[in-house]
Amino acid sequence: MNIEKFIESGILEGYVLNIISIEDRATVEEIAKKNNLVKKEISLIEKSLESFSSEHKITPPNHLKTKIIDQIKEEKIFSSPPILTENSKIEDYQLWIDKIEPPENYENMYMKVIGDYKTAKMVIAWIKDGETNHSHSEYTEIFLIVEGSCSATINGKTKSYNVGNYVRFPINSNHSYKVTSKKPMKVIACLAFKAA
Amino acid sequence: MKKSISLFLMSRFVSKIYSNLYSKKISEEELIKLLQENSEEGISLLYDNYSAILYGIITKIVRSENIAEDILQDTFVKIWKNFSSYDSSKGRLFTWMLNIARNKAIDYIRSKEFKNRSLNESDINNKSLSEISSEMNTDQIGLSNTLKFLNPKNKIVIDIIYFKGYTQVEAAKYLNIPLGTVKSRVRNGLIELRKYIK
Repeated sequence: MNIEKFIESGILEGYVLNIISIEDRATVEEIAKKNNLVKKEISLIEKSLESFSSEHKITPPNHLKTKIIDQIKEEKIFSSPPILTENSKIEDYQLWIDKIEPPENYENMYMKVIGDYKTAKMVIAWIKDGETNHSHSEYTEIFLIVEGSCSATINGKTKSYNVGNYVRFPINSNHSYKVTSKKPMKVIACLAFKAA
Repeated sequence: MKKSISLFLMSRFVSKIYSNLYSKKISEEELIKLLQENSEEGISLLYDNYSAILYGIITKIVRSENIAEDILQDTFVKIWKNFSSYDSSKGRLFTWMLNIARNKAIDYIRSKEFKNRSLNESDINNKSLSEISSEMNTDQIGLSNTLKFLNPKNKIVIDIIYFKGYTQVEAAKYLNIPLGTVKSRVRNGLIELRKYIK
């Protein structure tokens, strides 16, 4: 390929302005990786676009910075819910309980991951009926019941659980549970992985 | 009298030190490092260094400061959320952020909400070319010398792509010139700007 013609074609400007197709973007990135001339040209275009852009500066109103930083702080908290322990309370998860709604229609269960850590996965879930007998070998599953109730059988022993209770299904245990409330049971759940 | 002048000078001096401390210019590399560490200082410095330029561009696209405030907010939240997908080997941080801001602003002017709003005002999408060029010329009055030196033929192509979100094909149709000419005018315009890179 003739590199000078490629540069002259205007494709690099289109790349920087983000107005070319995904395929063309991939081509440009591929060529830029190997060719310093193309890389340099892109950098020059970026700098000229930056000086063009800075001709249009307007200082935003003062209150906006605090507003934006506060929202980011909230998003930061939202993306990292505390890991469920036996000492956790429903209030600890109020933010997620308030903000997340299930869809109108779902079958037995609707689950949404709210936190994904190396050692655990945090989930909010709505369950209409329950789950039949099963076991898992990778993690212990803990529920904190936020709404509704269930009756759970773990290794042959059956017990009832209500709002505010924990249900702990240990790793490798045989377990099942049945929702006993009229409305779906809503839980904050934690899948705690075996330490590596 | 003398005392108040010296007090005045002193307060200016102090506020200058203060503003140097708090709106310090930070290099892109340092900023990227802070943001990768997910630091709040990083986002604060990012705001200090880039909010005016992004806000200016967004305002120019959506033509309303109220809406530009919301879009700037969404833009910073998205920058923060998606920072791990920024790859410095592929381009400058500024370009990446600018494209997030422009996409959000252009999505807005293509939305129903904007179209409803502009029906009540003037329909920007149906303006004739001469209206747009005269509008762009008025816009030029407040601008620094840099943009006045741009060849108007190049400038209008850059303007409608950059601020109106036209694709190169749309720009060619709109200006009734071949696609190749659109591409070369964008290129020539940006080459003209190279002289002014700071």
